[in-house]
Amino acid sequence: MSDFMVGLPTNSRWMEYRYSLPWVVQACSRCTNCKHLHGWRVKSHRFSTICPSLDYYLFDSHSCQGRMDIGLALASGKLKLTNRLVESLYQCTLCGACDVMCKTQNDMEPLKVLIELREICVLAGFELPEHKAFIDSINKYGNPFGQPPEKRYIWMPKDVYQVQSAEILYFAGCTTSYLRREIARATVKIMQNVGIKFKVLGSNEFCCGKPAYKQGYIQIAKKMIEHNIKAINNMGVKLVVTSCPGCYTSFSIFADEYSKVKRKFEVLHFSQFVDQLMDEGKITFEKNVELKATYHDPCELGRLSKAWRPGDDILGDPKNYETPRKILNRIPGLQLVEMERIKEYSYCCGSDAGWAFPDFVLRTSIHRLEEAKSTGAEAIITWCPTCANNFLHASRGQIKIYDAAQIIQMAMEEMKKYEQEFRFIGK
Amino acid sequence: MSKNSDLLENRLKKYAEELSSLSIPAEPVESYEGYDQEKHETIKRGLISILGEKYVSDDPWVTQAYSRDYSTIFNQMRPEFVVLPGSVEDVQAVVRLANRLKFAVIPVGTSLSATCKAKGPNTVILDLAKRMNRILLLDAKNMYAVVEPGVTYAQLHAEAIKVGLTHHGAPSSGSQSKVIANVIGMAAVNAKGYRYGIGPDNILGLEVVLPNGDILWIGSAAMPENRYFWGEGPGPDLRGLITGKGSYGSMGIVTKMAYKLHPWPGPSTWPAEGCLPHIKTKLPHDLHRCYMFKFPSYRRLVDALYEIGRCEVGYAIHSITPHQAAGWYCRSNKQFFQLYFGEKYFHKWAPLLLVHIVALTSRKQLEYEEKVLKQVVKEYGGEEIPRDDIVNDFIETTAVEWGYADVHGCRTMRYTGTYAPIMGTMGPLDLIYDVGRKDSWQLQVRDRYHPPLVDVVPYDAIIWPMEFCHWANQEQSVFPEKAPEKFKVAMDVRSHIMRESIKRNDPNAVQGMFISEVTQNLIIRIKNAFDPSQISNPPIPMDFFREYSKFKKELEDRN
Repeated sequence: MSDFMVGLPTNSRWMEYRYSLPWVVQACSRCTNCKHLHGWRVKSHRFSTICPSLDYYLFDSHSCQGRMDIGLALASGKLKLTNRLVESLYQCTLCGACDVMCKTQNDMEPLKVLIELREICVLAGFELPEHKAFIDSINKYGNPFGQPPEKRYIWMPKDVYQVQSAEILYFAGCTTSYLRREIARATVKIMQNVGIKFKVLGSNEFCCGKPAYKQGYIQIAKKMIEHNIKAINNMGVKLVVTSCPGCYTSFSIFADEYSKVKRKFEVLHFSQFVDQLMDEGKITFEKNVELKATYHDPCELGRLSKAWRPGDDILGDPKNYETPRKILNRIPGLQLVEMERIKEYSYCCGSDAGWAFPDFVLRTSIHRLEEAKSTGAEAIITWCPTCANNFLHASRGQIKIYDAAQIIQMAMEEMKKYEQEFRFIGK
Repeated sequence: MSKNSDLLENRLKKYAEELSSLSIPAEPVESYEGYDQEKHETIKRGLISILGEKYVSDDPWVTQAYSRDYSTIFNQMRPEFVVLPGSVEDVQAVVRLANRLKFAVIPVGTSLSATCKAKGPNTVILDLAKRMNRILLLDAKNMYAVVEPGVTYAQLHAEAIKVGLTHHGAPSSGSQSKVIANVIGMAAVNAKGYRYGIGPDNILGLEVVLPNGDILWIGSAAMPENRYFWGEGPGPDLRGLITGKGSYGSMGIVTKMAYKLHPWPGPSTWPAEGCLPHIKTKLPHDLHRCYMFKFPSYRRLVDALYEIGRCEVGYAIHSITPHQAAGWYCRSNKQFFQLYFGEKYFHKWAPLLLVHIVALTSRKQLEYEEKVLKQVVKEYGGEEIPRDDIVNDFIETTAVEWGYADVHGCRTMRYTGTYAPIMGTMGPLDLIYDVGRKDSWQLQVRDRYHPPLVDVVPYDAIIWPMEFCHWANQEQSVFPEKAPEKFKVAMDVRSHIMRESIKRNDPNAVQGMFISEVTQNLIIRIKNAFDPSQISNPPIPMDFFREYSKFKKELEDRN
């Protein structure tokens, strides 16, 4: 007998991973890591879980592992879709924390399965009424909030000027435009303050498609992103800056995979843009911001911010974990303290399940805010309007909530020179 | 037909085609022989009256989520109900209801074990991990913790190191495993067993709901105020009724456990750097040292282990195979195939001994242990594995995982999707050596099935030396590609080895088979006395006896 008899797997997919729903659901080894923080990262019993859905609904059917089991049974016809089953599939924030933990063990993409199962629900005509309403709104108004498109940019401050010849486009996104306008105002003020010429799509800006994609309405998501890419391509800009990490990943990951219209521009989240400006010496922080704060990594700006390939060392773009911290640490007076669950294993704010399950969302946000408060911080800073919006609703004034753009604005001296210049060019 | 219907139909057809060769999911519970809808409704009403509607489910998608074990292919079956008790009183009430209405109760923690799955209709899974998950007490002075069934090794470890203590060790299934289920049902064997023995040796007290619904407090827990510090009596040590490999809640359901903690000279939070999956750890060099030794042969490795144990040096010790080293180290299947099958990189390490030494009392003690260890290794022809990038990386990412906060057994299944244990041996190191030798009859039987089974572990087996090498534990697994017919081959290997053991009258391959009839009868009598209605995870613990008797009878008939 030779000392090494090789019996290789007959199915080459064990060697060269390719995504398919049946493959992933059958490959789940029920190891249960999708429910817990990586053992080395556990700092306390209290904050050691990672799945908001399981933490709230408790049965394993509400964990990634359980949903892989459900996927297996559905795909093989051993389980039929029912309204309650469909609800259970939607009682998840799609934050991807399970996906991160799973990938430490196996070449697997369970998050894609969770989205595909929702797509199946939609195709089979099982739509939640709340989702139908926001999808109708997206179709009708180009945003999920039932708001008229012409009101999208009413937040634009009167003393901030767009420059039509600008090569940079600011894509505010729906949540920033309609719900958290102060973030959009802070963002454009910062840009103008340091002399960045920019313009916006205005009422021609549609939803980025991410909310529709996450609820399984893939075709509508494609329609949205293709509209936006076409409109932006026509404007001839070279760079799109987004406030919302969801919009950022919609352009940078989703569009590359799904859109037939290819983008002719780069896309950056505002954090990455500020980082560039800091490196170029264009942004300096002069004013003290006396605040003890903690930073919440948004899922879309962290672990979901980069497309994954088997063997990738880092989940998400590591720069997106470090950049916000680097920027905030340079702000004088600001004391940054860390929560227990950060970066790739950040605990979700809960917002993406908000359309249909507000109690679940509220409990998830409150749990995250408790973790923030346990650090002794008086404020939680994030870089996602959806997280900020969600936290504001849950916090009831017990802790301050900021988008990082607001903090940056506080730390900057207001310079009027570009206001004059841009007013002139803008006219 | 609408566009969506077409899309859906095509999609489902594609799924079914792909799945047909990969897996057989659990059938609907209504199709089980003996299923009774009327009884189902009666049980449901009873469970809801105890726990409330929120914590009882017979929804098929919920029960489906409890239908698989770690191998995820073995005996998949949906339970009729899953319930989430919130207290010992809840557990008692459910067990009493089970006695009255005659249904089986199976307690689960992490729910990895094939033994803790439904085995037929009228089965209720008690998921104890969700609402009974507190660390009730962490007594730093007296070095123990009292935990509920939902507490994981990682959670206990994180809280214990804050006060300079740690637990007995995490199992190879991972630190996400629940302490109680692992200690009670699986004996919690791991690398730190070299110093601290198996998990059950570390139990100080238990609160158990017996199969009739009564509560049994074991050891000093039976005293007023449930003071957990001593489990040896009075009278017979009753821990043995509940614990042990193969018990799996068959004699009662543990709802609290007092568990010994041990000194932890190190930081109060685990030092981890980097992002997943390439996360690294560096323990302080003056307190912790990790070595990888290679020996000229397994015989020499085993002889060195005897001597290391005799000198009582070392903290966590074990010998792992190249396949396991590769499984734990590699971050993708592609890397695994390249390094393990392609370059055979990890074979260069074999026979490999991993040793961790710790300054438990002082730095001087660490220096002493290091000197003795190196001297013994040298005497037996061993040498440190030369450092290269992978070795350095392995030490920081993988080697120290064992016995601490994080080990992930399913990484070793990454290239086939499943595994099947075929042998499990406990005994003196020499016995472990004999069974694990590549020319042993056991491994020769196993190797006849490669292929179709994937991979041969070429250099013997994993060895966990326990209690300063007084004895050791070994487990042999095979790795079939995850598909029903291939998994069957793995089961055939196991049966083949069991039959061969009986034929040769060699009890060393599969633990538990050769238990004497007196012992068997006693265990059966105890089970029947405690659980006359057979409601507590039946038919455990009788499985072994049945399988053994079947094979024995086959052999006798043939002769």
